[in-house]
Amino acid sequence: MRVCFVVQRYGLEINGGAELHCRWVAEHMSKYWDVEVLTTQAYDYVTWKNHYPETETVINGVPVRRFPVTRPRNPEAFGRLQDYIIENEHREEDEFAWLEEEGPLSPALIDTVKAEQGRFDYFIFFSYRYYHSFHGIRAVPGKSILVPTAEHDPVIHLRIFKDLFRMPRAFVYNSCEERAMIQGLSRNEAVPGDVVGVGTEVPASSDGARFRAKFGIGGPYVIYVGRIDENKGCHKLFEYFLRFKNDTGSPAQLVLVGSTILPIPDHADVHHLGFLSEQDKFDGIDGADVLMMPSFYESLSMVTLEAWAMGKPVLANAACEVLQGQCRRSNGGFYYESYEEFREALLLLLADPALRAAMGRNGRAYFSANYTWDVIENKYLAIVAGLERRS
Amino acid sequence: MDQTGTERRDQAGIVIDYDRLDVADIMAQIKKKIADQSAAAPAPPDVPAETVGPAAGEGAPPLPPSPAPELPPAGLKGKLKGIFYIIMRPFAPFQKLLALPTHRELMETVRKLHQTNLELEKIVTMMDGEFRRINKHLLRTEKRVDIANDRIDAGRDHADALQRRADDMVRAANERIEEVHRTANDRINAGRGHVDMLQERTDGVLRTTNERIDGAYGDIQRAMEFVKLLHNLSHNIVVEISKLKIEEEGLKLKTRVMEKDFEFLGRRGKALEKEFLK
Repeated sequence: MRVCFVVQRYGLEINGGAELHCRWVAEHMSKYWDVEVLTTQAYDYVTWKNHYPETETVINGVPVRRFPVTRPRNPEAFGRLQDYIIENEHREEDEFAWLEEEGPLSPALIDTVKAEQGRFDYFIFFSYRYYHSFHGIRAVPGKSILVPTAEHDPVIHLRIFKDLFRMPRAFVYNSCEERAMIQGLSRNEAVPGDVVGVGTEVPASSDGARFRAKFGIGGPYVIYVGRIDENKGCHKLFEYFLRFKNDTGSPAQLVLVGSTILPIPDHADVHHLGFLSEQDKFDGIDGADVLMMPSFYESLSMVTLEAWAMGKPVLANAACEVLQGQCRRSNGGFYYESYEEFREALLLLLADPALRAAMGRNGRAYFSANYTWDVIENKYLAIVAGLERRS
Repeated sequence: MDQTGTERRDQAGIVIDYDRLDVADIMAQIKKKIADQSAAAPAPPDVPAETVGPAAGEGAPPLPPSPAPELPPAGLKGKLKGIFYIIMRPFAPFQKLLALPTHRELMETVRKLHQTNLELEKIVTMMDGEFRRINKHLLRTEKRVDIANDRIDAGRDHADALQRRADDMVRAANERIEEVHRTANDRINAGRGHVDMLQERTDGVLRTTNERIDGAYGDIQRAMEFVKLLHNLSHNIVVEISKLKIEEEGLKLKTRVMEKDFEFLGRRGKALEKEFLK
């Protein structure tokens, strides 16, 4: 079976989000299918400027073809247009204009999908909100499978997406909450689909003591891993954590791993380590008491799954329905809606090693049942087998 | 924290079953705890009754409790004291008179009161003129107030009339808005039903179209295979024709050689015949 993965960006340098999700799935499914990836030459997700010079390459055994972005995105114009369509009554033309600004604008990619539809049995599109998915699915509706990676984002309510969600042959959802949201918006219950998500692998050995020694961190600490950004709720995490320290006198420290676009609070117990290697990251999670996940919008938090895979409890933002749902289903994490809940939940977790261990066990069991690669691969195979039976 | 069996209560008063951990239940307990804390926290402390009053300054210790009322002494002494009190009751006014100031002090007081009266009369005489003047002003002001009142009454009537008109207009507008609202709702409901129907029809059409596209795709695939076969056949025919052409050329060449041989043999035959006939 020949399957084509279509995604906005692709490369070993791109770590996180739907792109990494796509790469991992493509690499794992190449064991079963003849896989190829169609993508753009962009690397920067803000401007979509052409970055990769080569048009054909092979990454981890998967052939990749890249197509140029004809017009990079102007972030300011895009921001204005997005604000306009979110806050005002508008026409469908405005939504199409928004989609073109959203990008990555690569008509050659869509032409190739159209031209080569005979070569592939299925096209798997990642991320509903980009140009390639919208026009690609319209080009090959009978062969398309959509991995929407949707969040509770205002643009999901645009009219153009309502029709789009009824078009593919099948859906691969990341979470029950995502499926409920998309079905609620578009009433596409007739389109088959399953909650799959993405698998992850943690190293066989990770060492919290090594992390503490390397970065000079002693005493209990909680960790945040990811982009340090207001969209990820980090400003609230800083505010709550410093209030927590002030109110309770707790010796806990906050360790931040990832690149930042926010100022980091100048506090002796807040450590920003920047971008770390995978081994250091896993060592850091291993040494932490709790993983903090303050994000408001997540379709599937990979780092949360990694923490559960390593038997660590999570404290998540309840405003993100996906995170709250996963904490409830796994019984591996608490969630907070206010500072008071944050304080009480964190106090409880830090004070009680037995509770942390029990939640870690639950998280690991949830991960094993739903997010190991065997489970994920079998779910993808089952979806395609179901489509074949229908055909 | 004390652990008993599988369930235990931690210091913060949250019940946790470690074998069957229920995050939702623990979160509900945390929320309840926070709600209890916030309900208890804002109430200010009650102020004791003894401290209320001008004598109770900030930080002042509370006043001591009032002394208990004096009870009559018990026993014979008390009874005698009670009888004496009853006997002496008719003489009580005289006893009070005995306690008044002396005659000289009384006369002094009367003189001061007289002096005060004279001063008051002077003040009254002086104030009388002022009062008359004020009265005149008051009368004039009263007249002006009456005129203003008349005007206000007239204005109020006018305002009432305007208010009534405004009320009528608002009532009419409300009725109209309600009517438009009802009509719009009806139309929206009707439209929604229609949209749902269209939606279902569109879905059906889309499904059918997809199926037909799939069918057409199959047909196209078959046609493409057929075209491929035809292409192969054409290719083979072209090859065969080319081979035949080459063979034909060879045969033509051979024929030409044979014709030449035949001519040569003819000429030789004629020459031999000539020699033979000589």
